[in-house]
Amino acid sequence: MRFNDAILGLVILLGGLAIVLQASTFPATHGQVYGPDFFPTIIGTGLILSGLVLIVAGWRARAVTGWVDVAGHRIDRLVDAGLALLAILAFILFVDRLGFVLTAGLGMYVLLVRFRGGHWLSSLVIAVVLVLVVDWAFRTMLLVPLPQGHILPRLPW
Amino acid sequence: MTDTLLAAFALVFDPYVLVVMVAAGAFGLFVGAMPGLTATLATALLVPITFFMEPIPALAAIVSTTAMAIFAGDLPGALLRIPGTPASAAYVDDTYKLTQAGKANLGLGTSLVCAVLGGLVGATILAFTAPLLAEVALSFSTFEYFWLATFGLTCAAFVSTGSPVKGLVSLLLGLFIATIGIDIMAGQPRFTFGSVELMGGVSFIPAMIGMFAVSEVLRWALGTTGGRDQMAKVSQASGSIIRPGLASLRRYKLGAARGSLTGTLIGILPGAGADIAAWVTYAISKKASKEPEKFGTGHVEGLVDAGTANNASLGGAWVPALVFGIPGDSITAIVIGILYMKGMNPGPMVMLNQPELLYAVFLAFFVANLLLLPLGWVAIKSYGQMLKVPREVLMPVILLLCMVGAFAINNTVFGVTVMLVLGVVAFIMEENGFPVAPAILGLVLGSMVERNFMQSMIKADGNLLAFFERPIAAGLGVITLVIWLVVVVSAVRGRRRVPPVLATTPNE
Repeated sequence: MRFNDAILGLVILLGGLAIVLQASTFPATHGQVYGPDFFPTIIGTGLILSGLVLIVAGWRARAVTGWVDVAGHRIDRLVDAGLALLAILAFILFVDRLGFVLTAGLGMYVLLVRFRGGHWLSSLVIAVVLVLVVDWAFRTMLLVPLPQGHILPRLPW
Repeated sequence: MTDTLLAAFALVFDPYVLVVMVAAGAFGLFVGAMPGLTATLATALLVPITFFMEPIPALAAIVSTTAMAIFAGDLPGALLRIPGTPASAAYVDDTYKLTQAGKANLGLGTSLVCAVLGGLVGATILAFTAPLLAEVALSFSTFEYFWLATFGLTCAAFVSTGSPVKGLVSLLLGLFIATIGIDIMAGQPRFTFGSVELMGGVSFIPAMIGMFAVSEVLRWALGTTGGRDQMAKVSQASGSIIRPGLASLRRYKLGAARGSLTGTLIGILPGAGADIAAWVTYAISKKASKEPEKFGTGHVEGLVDAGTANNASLGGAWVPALVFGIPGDSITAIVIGILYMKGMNPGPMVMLNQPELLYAVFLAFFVANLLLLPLGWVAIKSYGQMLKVPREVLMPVILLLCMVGAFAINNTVFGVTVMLVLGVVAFIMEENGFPVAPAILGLVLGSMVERNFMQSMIKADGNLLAFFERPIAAGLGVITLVIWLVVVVSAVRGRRRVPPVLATTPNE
């Protein structure tokens, strides 16, 4: 997904402005010239200036580049990428309640079925084996406290 | 000295470490050989595993993985015309045309032999310069460190390929993320919006996993990078591999020497890694060649230069990382993160307190590059089998490892959130021609710049001229300011001719 540089420039400019404004609320450090707002202000100012340069350049190039270029992305591919993001989001939201095995297993299963175009049964086998191996490797071997959740019983390893 | 070396030998030639290096090497070869999966991604995926190792096997694993991955990137380049890592992109036309002419063994043999040679030269330079530089670095104060870090950031923003404005935006983004959390000098929470988790700042390992791995999975899903539609038939390299490789090395001795030296130097430069080393040395080779018209048509001359350079740069990148704690490329940025997690603050003090550790890293480089010869040979011979691993399965696996890895750093889901957000940000950035490497360096170096600036200003009572009062600080400061001046002047002049924003370039 390509945007005209002017659009990105505007976003960058507004972001820089927000940083500068937020930094101006930081209290000054007593007895010192440079406080906690000093670096954020430089960063924000730099972003504002860079944003301006990009806006000018993007405006000049608008005839050639247009505003937004989504060409080349097929709908089904957008769904693929969206599902990958959803799998991560679901992990973030539900892993503490459902536990690692269930959350990651479901996410993997959906992605495998989608990417491989079907193969419901073999995808299920892959997803289960995959998640159990990762659970064993990280929880048992590397001692990462992967969330247990409240649904499945604790696995024997 | 001999005691230190013996201790280092004992550390590296431990059966456990050697097994780890071979396993990590095989992993690196596999990841590098998969089109689109980079050496940096391989390193990022290794992090959660190295987290639970002793420092030496952890560092040896990374050294071995990256050396193999950079070579392995040449495999799909030569056989499928898709560079496996950005570092192989410079000479992909040459190696692919050699394959088409039935000389895949010549192309891959040359690239293997050159990778080994470059890696060994890079390791040698690392082993000799790092201890010397460390002695110099012992006298450094916050003023010098401030300029060193600023110089590193400057290089990161402007040396990378593409438009300088976009490099600068990427750098500023990284610096901004580094300011999130409790301010180290005054204890002021910054940009935390009341979130307790943000108070501790954004850990950069989840950030890097997001920026390099999640964005790559997204690109693959959308079919933007190589691989998803173009898995055509794979050619195989037949015939002897090492012998033709040695022959081209003998023929272009000068190029190999030039490539390995330039490559190491580019590696030492903060922010510029293997991909830039390959592009620059390929261009130098073409300029110096007697037959520049043959470049890009299946000629091994440029391949010798650039093939040695990209592996040599890996060793070079460790020089500033180990001596000053300033990463030479995005791989060593991750290494620095690992060092901090292991409680070893990279810098000249490591040289004083644990010299055997540094010598062990140098030795690991030699071992890894010697291992590359047999392992690389096996990889060339078995590439057809390697490609049979279906990407539709591999990508979900990578995503799962990313989530677990990001979780494992602090054992909180917050790491996964950081990974997700920055993965999407990095994806949008790369789609629009913003390089990602400057953001990573900004993230790693941001607090170092700020801390050294603040401490210097407390010492100097707010007098900015103090930054130019010590000779080395003044020298570094002038160089940094001159780079800024040159970039700004050339940008203002250049704008009248070509709009720089139209330039889209390959990047990591």
